[in-house]
Amino acid sequence: MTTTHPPIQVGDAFSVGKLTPRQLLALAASAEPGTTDPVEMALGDTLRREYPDLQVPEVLPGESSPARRDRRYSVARVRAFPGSEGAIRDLNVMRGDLEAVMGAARAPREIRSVLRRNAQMASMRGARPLAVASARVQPDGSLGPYRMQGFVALRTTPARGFAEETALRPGEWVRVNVWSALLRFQHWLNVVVVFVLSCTGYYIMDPFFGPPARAGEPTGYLMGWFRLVHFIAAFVWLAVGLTRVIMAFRSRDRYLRWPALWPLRRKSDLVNLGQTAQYYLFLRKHAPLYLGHNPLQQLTYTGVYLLGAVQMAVGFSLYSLYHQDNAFWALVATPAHWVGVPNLRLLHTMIMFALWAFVIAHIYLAVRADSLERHGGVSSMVNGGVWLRRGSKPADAPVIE
Amino acid sequence: MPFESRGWQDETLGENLERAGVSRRDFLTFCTGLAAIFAAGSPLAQAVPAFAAQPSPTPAQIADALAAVKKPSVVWLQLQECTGCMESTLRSGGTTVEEVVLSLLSVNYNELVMAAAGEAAEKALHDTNAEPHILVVNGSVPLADGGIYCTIGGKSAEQVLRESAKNATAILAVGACAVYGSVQAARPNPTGAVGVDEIIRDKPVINVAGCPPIGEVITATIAYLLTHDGALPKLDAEGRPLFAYGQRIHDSCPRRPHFDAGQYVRTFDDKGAREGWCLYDVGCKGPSTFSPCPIVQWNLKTSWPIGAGHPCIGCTEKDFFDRYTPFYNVLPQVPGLGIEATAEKVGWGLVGAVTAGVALHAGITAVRHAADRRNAEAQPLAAFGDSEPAQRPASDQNQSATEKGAE
Repeated sequence: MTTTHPPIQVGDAFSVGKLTPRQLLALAASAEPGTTDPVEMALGDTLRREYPDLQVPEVLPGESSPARRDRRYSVARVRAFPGSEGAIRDLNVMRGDLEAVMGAARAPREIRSVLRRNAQMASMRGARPLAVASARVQPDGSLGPYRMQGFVALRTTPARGFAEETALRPGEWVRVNVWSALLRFQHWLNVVVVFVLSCTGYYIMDPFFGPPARAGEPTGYLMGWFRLVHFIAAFVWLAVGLTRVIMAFRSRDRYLRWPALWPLRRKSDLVNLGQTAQYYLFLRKHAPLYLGHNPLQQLTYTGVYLLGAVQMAVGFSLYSLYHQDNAFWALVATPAHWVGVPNLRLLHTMIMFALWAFVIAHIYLAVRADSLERHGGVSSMVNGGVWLRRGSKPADAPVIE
Repeated sequence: MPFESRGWQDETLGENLERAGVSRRDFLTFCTGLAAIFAAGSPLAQAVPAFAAQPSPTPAQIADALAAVKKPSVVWLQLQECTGCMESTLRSGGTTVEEVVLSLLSVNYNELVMAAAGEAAEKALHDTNAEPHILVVNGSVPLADGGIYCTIGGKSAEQVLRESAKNATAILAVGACAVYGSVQAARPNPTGAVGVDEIIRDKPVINVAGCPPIGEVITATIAYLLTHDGALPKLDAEGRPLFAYGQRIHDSCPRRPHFDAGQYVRTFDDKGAREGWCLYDVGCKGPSTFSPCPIVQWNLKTSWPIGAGHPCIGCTEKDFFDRYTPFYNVLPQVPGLGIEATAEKVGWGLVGAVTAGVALHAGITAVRHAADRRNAEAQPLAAFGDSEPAQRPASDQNQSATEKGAE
């Protein structure tokens, strides 16, 4: 067999039997000396590299039978395999396609289900599960039943970046605390306040319902309440905005400080920005890895900060119209004289819609990134931590140890 | 009220009013009205040295000050305009104290009311311009094409204005045209119309805004100048006297309770319209418009636009014809997106487009992802039985030993 393959990468071993993952890997790696099968070679290399204390189990020449199209697994006799409970036994190992191996081996329904689900996860990451089953060679030389041991994830396509590489080894993730409690609190306060402001503001823009005319009954205070709630929420939002500005200059957290708002400092930032955009446009398979926000993301958030600041200023200006005999409020009302009050109200409305559009895209991209890259981005806005693979090299942080 | 105008014979306004048969009571009533208007905006104390001791002038103080006024000369120009402002000033419900005050001013030049014509009129203007006078301007100044769109006596409106402004002690721009150009200055402004304060930059110009302004606000502003030794009233950012333009129509509107209750006129023939509900939803610009209309009203408090059931169109605001239209919508259209681009349509369109984009993106993601998964399996591997081994191992014949258990 010619080795025109791209190198095969070996991922995690997923064990459903009594074997530890490393034992399972060793079992999967058993091969005749001088094998040319790329899978066996890759498994053997990995085993020797990562677990130098483990021997690659040897298969005597002539005691193996390769997989075929009509029988999609191989069978080999392994001599003196150090298995579970330290027992050293001779085994027959069966390796190959998961369904084929499960068809030939004995496995309860729940084991099959677990195997299928985890195999699916692996295959979502572009890996292919090499199923492993084994049968004991009884002292009398006969062969016991084949039992499922698990699978080893193999990648046959070229490695294209961090995300897939990490996904191949879900066992080696490290939690890194990134988002401070204050930032998370502000985020969710923003969510509540913007929701309240949107609901009440929409009604102020278009009072599309109202109480009917009923003689002799109190008319209520519908718009009055909407406006009151809008104003209260607006002042809360102003306070949040003010706190954020103060944090940008006073905080010791580098993700909060103002330089974080402008992510384009080096040429590589620009390159990464372009690559991230290409990734979102499906022109690239992988985006550069960032611990915090990637440049595209950060520019968007900086834009949203600006949008929010304009929205606050405009709203404050509209609010000030009530108090034109006061010098402070007259000053606040200045933008109204530039473009006229109705245009200011129009701007206020359009920024609301723009924020809605942002929220939709934001939620989608957050869920998408969390699903594809499995870094826990969505929950990081609750608990502050993202997950990265040990040894990964984010563009904005030291290597994750 | 009966009176007989005999022109200005005695020295002061008070003596002349007395001669004309205006009773002290009527005069004080008028001054009380003015005091109410002055107080409508803000405390005047800081603005007016004469009344510095008090928060605002009492009617008696105004009466004394006004009665002591000596005959002031007035040039009242009518440039590019419709004469509506003069109508508002003069035809405010028959002969009134306001008219007496104005007729007893020496209005030496005004195209509408003066008796003189031709050379005599031009001479009156020329003579008055030569001495200190109050300048009242109605109408805008068209600057395009050398100012040919409004000429009087062979002079362009700009020339007329500059000549009259030279010796003016106070300049009042009365009406939306004089303030910024009004309708004729709306896009595309073919005559290049501008307001007075864009021509006269070396003197303060009081902008009495409105299309037309309320007659009483015009007379109150003149009275303010007469009673305060020419000191300007406190002005807002657009040069309007704060005593009249310090508050939004919305904030003193008699229909405001319906606004707060959420009771809105939806169409002009619905029950709400008959009940006198709030006109906000049919485009009332009261919340964006500064004017004392709900308080002073029009034609001796006969009525006013909102009182008559029509939404405010915001005529006291700058560029209302460009900025406050469409008159019957709550918000202006989104510029640059066609005539039906309402904020809600555009906004929901944006939200819909982003949602569709997200859905499309998610779909592509799913498809690409599935393709990735298939690709991962596309590489045939012998270990999975994807292909026959290139060469059978020599040990094939021995395979029965290892395969027994499986087969």
